Amino acid sequence: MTMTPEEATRFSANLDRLVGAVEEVLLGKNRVVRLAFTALLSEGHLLLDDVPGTGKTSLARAMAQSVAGTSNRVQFTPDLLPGDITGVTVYDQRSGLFEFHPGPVFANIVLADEINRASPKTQSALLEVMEEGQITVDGVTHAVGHPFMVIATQNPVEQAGTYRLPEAQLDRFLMRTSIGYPDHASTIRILEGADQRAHGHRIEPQLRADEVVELAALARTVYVDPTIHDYVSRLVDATRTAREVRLGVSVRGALALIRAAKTHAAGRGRHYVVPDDVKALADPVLAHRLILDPEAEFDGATASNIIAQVLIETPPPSSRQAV
Amino acid sequence: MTQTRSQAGADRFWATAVSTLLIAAMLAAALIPWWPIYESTAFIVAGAVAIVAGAGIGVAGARRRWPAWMVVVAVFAAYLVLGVPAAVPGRALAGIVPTPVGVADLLAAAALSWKQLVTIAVPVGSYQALLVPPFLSALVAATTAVTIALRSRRPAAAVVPPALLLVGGITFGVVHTAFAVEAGLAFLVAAVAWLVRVAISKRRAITSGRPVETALADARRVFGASALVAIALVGATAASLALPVPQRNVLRAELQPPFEPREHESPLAGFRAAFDPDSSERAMLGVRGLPEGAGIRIATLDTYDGIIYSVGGIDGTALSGRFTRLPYRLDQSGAVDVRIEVSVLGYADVWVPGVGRLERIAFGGPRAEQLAEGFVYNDVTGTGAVQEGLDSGDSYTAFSVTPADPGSLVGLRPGTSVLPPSPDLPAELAQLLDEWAPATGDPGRRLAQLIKGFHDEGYVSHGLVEERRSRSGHSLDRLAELATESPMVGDGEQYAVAAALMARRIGFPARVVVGYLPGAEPSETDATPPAESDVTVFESADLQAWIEVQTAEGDWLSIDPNPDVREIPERHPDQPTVVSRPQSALPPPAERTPVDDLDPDPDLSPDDQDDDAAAWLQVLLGVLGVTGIVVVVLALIASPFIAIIAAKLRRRRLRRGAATVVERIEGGWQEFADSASDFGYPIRPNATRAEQAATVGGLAPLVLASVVDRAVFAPDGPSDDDDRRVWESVDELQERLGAPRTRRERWRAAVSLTSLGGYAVTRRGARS
Repeated sequence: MTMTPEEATRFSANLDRLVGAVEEVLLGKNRVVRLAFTALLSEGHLLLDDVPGTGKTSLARAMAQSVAGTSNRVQFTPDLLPGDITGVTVYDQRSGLFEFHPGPVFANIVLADEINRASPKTQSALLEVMEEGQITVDGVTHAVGHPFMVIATQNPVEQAGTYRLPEAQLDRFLMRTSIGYPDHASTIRILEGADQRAHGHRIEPQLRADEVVELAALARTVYVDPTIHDYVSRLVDATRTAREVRLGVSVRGALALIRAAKTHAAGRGRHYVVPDDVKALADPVLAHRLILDPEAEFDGATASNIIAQVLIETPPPSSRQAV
Repeated sequence: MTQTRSQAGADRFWATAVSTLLIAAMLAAALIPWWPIYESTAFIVAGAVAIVAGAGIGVAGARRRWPAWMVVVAVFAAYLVLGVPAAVPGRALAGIVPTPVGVADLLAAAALSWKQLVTIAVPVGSYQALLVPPFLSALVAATTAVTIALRSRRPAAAVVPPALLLVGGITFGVVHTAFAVEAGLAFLVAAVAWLVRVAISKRRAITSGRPVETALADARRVFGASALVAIALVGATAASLALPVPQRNVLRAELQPPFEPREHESPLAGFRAAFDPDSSERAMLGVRGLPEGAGIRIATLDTYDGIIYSVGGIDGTALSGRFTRLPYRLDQSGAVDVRIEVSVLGYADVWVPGVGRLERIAFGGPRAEQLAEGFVYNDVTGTGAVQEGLDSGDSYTAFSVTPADPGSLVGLRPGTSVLPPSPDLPAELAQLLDEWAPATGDPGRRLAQLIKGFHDEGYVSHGLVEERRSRSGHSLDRLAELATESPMVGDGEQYAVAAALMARRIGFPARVVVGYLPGAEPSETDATPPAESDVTVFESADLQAWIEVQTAEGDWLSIDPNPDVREIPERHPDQPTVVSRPQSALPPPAERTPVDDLDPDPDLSPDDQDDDAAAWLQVLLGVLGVTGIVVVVLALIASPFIAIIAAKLRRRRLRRGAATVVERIEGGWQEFADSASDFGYPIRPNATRAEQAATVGGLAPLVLASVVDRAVFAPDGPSDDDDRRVWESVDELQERLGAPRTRRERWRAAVSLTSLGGYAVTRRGARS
C-alpha cells in the first residue's frame, strides 16, 4: 500500500503546522526545524553538533510541546551513570516489591545535552533505547512509548574531558546537523521579542502524540521508484570507494537515507520520492557515518565535502529505464 | 587494495601507450610532406629514430616528473648520441658509432642545413647532414607533443607540435603537389583520432561507474569523428575537382639559385671561334659509352632576344634559368639507358656536357669533390654546370635517360611547354616557311618539310678564309639574310636558330642545343691523344648546334636542321627573286598579333572566335561553371552548420516521437535542457531536473521539472495527454529563452555544439 496524493497533501499540511509552531521559538531556522521533524516522523534520532547558546534545548522543548508530548533534558557529565538515564529498581518496604523508577529517557523527546561528556558506558546505555524504543533493567523490559526521539548535542569546540561517540552509536542517529547562529535579521527579531521567548513561553500543541505516530506510519508508505534505490546504492558505493574515506556508509545508512527521503517527499506534498529528496538529505544522513582517512583529514578533507563531491560525481536517475 | 593498484597501474600503462601511439601516428603523418625532399630509406630511419627517442623522453619525463630543463637536456643528449647515425650516417663508423667529425657536422647542421636544404635539388637522400632538419624537428616535436599529452591539463594541444612539423615539411618541401592530399588526409585522420581519444578520456573521467553510458559516449565520439573524416574526405575531393589548383609557394621556389647562367656567355655566341684553323682540331672531350652517331649536349638555349640565343629568360625568371645543386640523383621517369664516361681534354667552360635527362652524375679526377660540390643542374633544359668550370684532367660519369626516337617527324603533335617569348619571325623566314611547309599541312608534316628544306637548300660555310663568305652571328638580320641569300649559306649557328624560330611558328615548343656531334673522319693529328676504339673524341670543330622540339608526349626530340657539307654552287647576285613561291589554293593565314606569335598553342582556331553562338554558349558555360563552384564552396562552408541544425532537428523528432509517454515526457525535458545549454546556461550533467531548472531560473522551468519528475518517479505514471502538454510547455520555454536574445545570439545557439558534444547526447531521450 502506497501513499495517495491526498494523504501526501495532508501530511505536508500537518508538518507545516508543526514546523510553523516551532519556528515561533526558533526564528530563521526553518531548515533545521524541518530536518528535526523529518527525523521525528522517520522514527529516527537527531545529533546536533553545536556550540552552546544556539537554541538546542529550545528546539527539543518546542518540538515536545508542539506534539503534545513529554520531553526530558539530561545534562551529560563524566560522573553520570547509566541508571541515571534509564531508571532504577527500588525495593518498596510497604509493598515488599521492587518498583521500577523510570529515568529521563521515558519521554517522547529526550534532549541528551553534551552527550560526549559522559563516559562511553553511559553513552552506550542509550544504544538499546535508541534502536528498539525499549530498555531492560534487572531483566525487565520497559517500552519508552511512541513517539520517541533522542536529540543529542555535542560541542564541537571544547574537546577536553570528552569521550568521542563510538561509530556504532553515531550510526544510530538518523541525522546529524547543526542549528548554527541565526542570521542578522533573525537576531534582530530575537532581540526585539526576547521577553516573549522566555523559557516559560509555551506553544500550543498542534498534534497529539498518536497523530504523530500515525503520520510516521504514513511516511513509510511513500513510493520509492527502483531507480531511486539504485541511486542511493550508487551513492553509498561511491562513499566506500572514495580515496579519502576509510570506512564508507553502511547498509543501515542507506536504509536511513531512504526512510528520511520518504518523509522529506511527503513533507513536500509528494507521494513519491525524487532524486532531489535524496540529495537534500544526503549530507545530514550520511556525513556522520563516514570515517575519514587520517591523512585526508589532516589535509583538510571533511565528511560533508566528500558527500558533496559524491553527489556531484554520481548522476541522478532521469528516467525509469536507467536501471 | 594491491589488486586495485595493479589494475590502476595497468590502466595507466595502456593509457600512456595509446596516447603515445596516436601521437607517433600524427608525427609520422606530419613527416609525409618531407618525403619528396629525400626519397630515401635513410629518411625513414631518421624519422623513426626521432619519433621513438622523442616519445621516450616525453614518457620518461612524465613518469619521473622531470623538470623542463631536464627534458631539454635529455633532448640534447639524444640529438648528440642518435643524431650522427640517424641524420649523418655517412659520418658514422659502421653506420652506427658517431665520429668527432660527424658530431661537428651534426652541430653545425642544426644551424646551417636549413638553408642548404632549400638550395639543393631534390631528392637529396642522405647527402651530407641534410637529414638533420627533419630529424631535429621530429625529435623536438615528439618530445613536446608527448609531454603535453601526458603532463598538460590540455592534452588536446599535443596536436600542435605535429602540425608545426607538417607545416615545416610543406614549407621546406617541393613545388609539385605529390603527396599533398594524402599527407593532409593522413594527418587529419591522426589528429581527429587523438582529439577523440582526449574527449573520450575526459568523458570517462565523468562517467566512471556507468559503463553503458561511457560506451555509448565513446561510440558516439568515434562515430562523430568518422563522420568528420568522411566529410573532410568528400569535401577535399570535391574541392580538388571543383577548384583550380593554385600555385604552390614553398621556400625552395623563393630563394635565389646558386648559379646564375646569365653571368656566363651563351655557348652560341662564340660558335664560330671553335672553327678557327689554329684550334679547330684540338681534342675537347673523350666520351665512352656514347650511342653510335649520337652527339653530346653542352647547353640548351630557350631564350632569344633577337640578337643572342641564351638560357633562363630575358629577365632571368624562366624556369630554365633556375639551376639547383644535385647531390644525389634526380627522379627521372624511365629507366637509365645511357651511361657515359667523359674525360675533359681541351674543353674549358662552366657547362657540363651530357646526353638526355640526367639522373645522376659522379665526378672523378683530382677535383672530383670540388666539382661535385659545385655541380648544378637545370632539369627543364637538361643542362648541367659547375661554378668553377671544367678543365683538362677532369672526368665524370653521367647516367641519363634519353627519349625514344619516334622515327619520322610526320605525325608528331606539338607539346604544351611555354617557353620564354621570342621576337616575331622575320618576314623572309616566314615566306620561306610558307614555301617549304604550307599551312595546310599538320604540324608534324610541316616540321618534316621544314627540316627537309634546310637539308635541300642549305650549304655549310663557317666563313673561313678558304670557304665561301658567311657572316657569323644569329641576329634577326642575319637570319633574314640567310633566308634571302642564294644559295643559302651558313652554319649550325644560323640554321639551328632559324629552324627553332620556324618550328615555334608551326606550333612546336622549340629550343636550340649547342653541343658536339661526331665528325666525319677521325683526326690524325699529333695533338690528339690516341683514342680507344669505344671512345669518341670530340674536336673543337665538331661543335654543332641543333634544335629540340617538344612533342605531345612531353619528350624533347633532337632534330638536326644542318645540311650536309657539300660544294656550294656559285652565287646569282642579280636574281631578284631568291626562291619561287608556288601558288596556293588557300588564302594566306590571318595576320597574327605579336601575342599570337608568342603563344606556342597551335590549337587556337580563329574560326571558333568568329562563331557568335559558340562564344555565347562558352560564356554561358563559364558563368554556370563559376556559379557552380561558388555554390559548391558555399555549400562546403555551410555544411557543418547545416549538419548541426539537422542533427538537432532529428534529435527533437526522435524525442517527441518516442515509443512511450514517459519517454516523450523525458525527451521534452531534455530538449529544454539542451536549449538552455546552447543558450549558455551552465547546465551540469549530474544535476537533477529541479537543479537544472533553478539554473535557468523562473517558476515555469521548476513546474515543468516537477511535472516530468512526477511522470517518471510517481507510481501512477503520467496520463495519456501529459506528453502533449509537456511539449507545449517546452516550446513555450524555448521561445522564452530566445526572446530576450539578439538574432545573432539565437543563431549561435542554433548552431552551438554544446548540447551535441556535452552531456546531452549521452542522455537517453534521443533514442526510441
